[in-house]
Amino acid sequence: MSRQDHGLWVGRSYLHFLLPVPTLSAVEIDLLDRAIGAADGWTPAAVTDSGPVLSRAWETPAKAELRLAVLSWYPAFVTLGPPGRSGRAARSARERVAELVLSQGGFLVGDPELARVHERLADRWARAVALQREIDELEFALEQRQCVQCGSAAARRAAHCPTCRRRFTGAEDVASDDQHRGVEAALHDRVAQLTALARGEGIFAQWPAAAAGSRPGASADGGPGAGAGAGGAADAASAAPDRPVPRVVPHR
Amino acid sequence: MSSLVVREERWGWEFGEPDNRVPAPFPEPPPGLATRPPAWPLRLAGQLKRATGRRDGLAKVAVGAAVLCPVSWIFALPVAALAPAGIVVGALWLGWGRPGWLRRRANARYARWLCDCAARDIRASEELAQWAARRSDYERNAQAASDPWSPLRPATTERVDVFGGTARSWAAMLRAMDSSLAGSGARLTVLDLSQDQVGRGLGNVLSAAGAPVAGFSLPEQMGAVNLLSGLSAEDIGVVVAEAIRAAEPDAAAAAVTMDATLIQHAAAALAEAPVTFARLHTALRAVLDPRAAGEDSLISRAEYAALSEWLNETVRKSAEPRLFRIIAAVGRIAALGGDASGVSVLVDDSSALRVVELSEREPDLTSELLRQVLFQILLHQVRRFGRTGGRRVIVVAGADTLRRAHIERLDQVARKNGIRLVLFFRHLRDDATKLIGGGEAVVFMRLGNTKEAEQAANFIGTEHRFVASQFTVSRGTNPPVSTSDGTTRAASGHDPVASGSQSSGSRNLDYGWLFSYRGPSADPSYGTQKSTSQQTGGSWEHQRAYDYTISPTMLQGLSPTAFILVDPRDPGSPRLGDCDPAILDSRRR
Repeated sequence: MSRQDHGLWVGRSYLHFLLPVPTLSAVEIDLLDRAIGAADGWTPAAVTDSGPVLSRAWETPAKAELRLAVLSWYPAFVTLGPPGRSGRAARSARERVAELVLSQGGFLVGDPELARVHERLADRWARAVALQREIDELEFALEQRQCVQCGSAAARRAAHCPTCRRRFTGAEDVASDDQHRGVEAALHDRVAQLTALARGEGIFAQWPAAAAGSRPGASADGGPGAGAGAGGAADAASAAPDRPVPRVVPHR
Repeated sequence: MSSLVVREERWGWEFGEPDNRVPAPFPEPPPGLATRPPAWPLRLAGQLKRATGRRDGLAKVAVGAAVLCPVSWIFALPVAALAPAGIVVGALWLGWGRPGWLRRRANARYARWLCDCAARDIRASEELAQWAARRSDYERNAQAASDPWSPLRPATTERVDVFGGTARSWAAMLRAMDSSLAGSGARLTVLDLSQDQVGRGLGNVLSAAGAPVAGFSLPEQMGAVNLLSGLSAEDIGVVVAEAIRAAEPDAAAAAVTMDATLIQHAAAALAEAPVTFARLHTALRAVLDPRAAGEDSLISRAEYAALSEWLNETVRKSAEPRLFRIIAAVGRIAALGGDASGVSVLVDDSSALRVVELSEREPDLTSELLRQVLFQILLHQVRRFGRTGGRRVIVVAGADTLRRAHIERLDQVARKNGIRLVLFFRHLRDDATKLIGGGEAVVFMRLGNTKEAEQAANFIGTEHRFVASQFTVSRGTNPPVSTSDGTTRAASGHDPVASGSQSSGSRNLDYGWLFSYRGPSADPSYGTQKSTSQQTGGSWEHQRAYDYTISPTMLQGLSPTAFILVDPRDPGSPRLGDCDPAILDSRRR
């Protein structure tokens, strides 16, 4: 990290960051465990085995403590720092986490940006929920067809209406296929939107690193920079995973 | 066991499409994270920025004040040096001390905020867990509701003919069908003439469910019944004469009238006690040989006198050949036993189920006579039932040896009285071929004989196809054979183009699931996979394995409990079903 990066946060022992994933999963948690535990004997504490990852804590043999809290989803917005007195070990861990975040295509959010980013992410979460709902309904529609006679739903590939037991005609099959092609297109569009939300697109102009080579620190509205150097951006470009977007509330 | 008794009529189950009832998505959105962003980071960041931004100016001020400090000390009062010293200290604090203080303050504020976040996490976790539990319940319920096996029944409420199958097939179908009919409030009469006890397990199911059941196995229980109970002399004449004629296919039609008249008058003469086959036999014998009537005889002197009054010498001489035949036949039935005070086996009572079965104890000749007598009594009872309240179903298992005219008469009477008639034929030959289609719906089970299978295939129509898809339904037994055959209809009737396919399941059984063999594939096997999107995780899979076109080979290869239902009133006809009660178990898992 450059010296400039230390200016992102007023305190010297905490950091806030975004990761281009919808929520924290076991993959990110594992990376954090490794980065934090690389020195000073940090080990995870008070690990919960079920439910979505909302928080996590680490501690050293000297009883120093670090705590992570998820502030929002789509993308994952996280803060990490000591819940009490800070020390050298906490500051050192913060440095390593910051490097990890940048290497994973994440984005460091400074104190001045905290409230604004949080507010925007609240809106994104609402959009993500709405999109997921739409996706669920489109997937539901994709599996169904409507009987023109009795109006009841049948399976898409059904030869007969399950209610009135009428055989679907060839013309109805063609119409159903056309309708399903439209539904598929809409579904693809919603999935793309949800993926973009999960990757964090639209929060900052130059993040995530799809706009390759740009410095991820500059905000979309020209606000104060809140990121790392170009190296981190380049890493992010290569590391940003094109992986499945899980459901809005995944389980670890 | 009682779970087999349901209110909805069913003859078996049709493997439908699991996605026929795709559950609607869980409507409740997940709770979000109610974190309040703190205001201090922005404020403190501004203060820190201002503090660090003034450092150059403050450094100059501090240096200037530091220079002034000794000057004031030397050239003015020493006290005057305090002022520049204060300025130095103040400038240093503002430029370097205050940022550190702001950082420490930020750390402290952050620690408090993090603790607030931890408290929020506890609440959010609980809310999420509750939401997840509700979603899980919803999906589990939806999954339970999406049962690929749907009850299958004929659309018609009138006669249904079942051809082919084995005793096991019939027992399975009767078990699936009758228990559901009883559950729906219908009264059932099962006349099992097959000598295979196909209705024996039926009473167990219904008894366990608390339904009133009556059952007789003949001739073992002949001592407890009187087959002729409740019949008038005229009825006895017709019943016995028709039964004898049916057992003697070569007998002249005119002989039936004479037989019926002779038996009727003999029965009419037996007025002092209920008529039984034994008393009837004695009476008929007494017509030819007066010594048959005596002190120890089953008929009294008065009854013999009544017989003699009508059967004068002329009549006796002319009827002698027939009398010998009648006495021989009645004697065979009489030898089986019977009690004058015994009950009638086929009465119209309140039993939800009445099973009368013909066992295989007796030789064929006697069994055939008894079979025909039982059928004639049933025909007589159906006439007498009239249009009673409530649904009534009569099942005749093993109708192969019954005369076509008798079956058609029974059908006619049953239709008139609003009674559903179900006839089970072991084979599709002789009179059965002439009866096929005479009812409403026809069910074909496994037909091993090539000619019979050909007849059935021609009747169903060879343009129909059943598309078998891969499916898996495992059973917890130790099956020696594992199959993955399945069934789904893709297209049939007037649309020869397969417009889709249904899916899926397989099961391991000691016999095939619907098919005991892998039928010739009309289309080469292929598999398709489709996914809405890798991102959503939503995907479905469909693999088509085999096409079964209606053919004699296909009908010969049906598994024992599989059947094809052809019902002109059902637009989805023909349908492929299975009546194995084990399907219930696989559905419950």
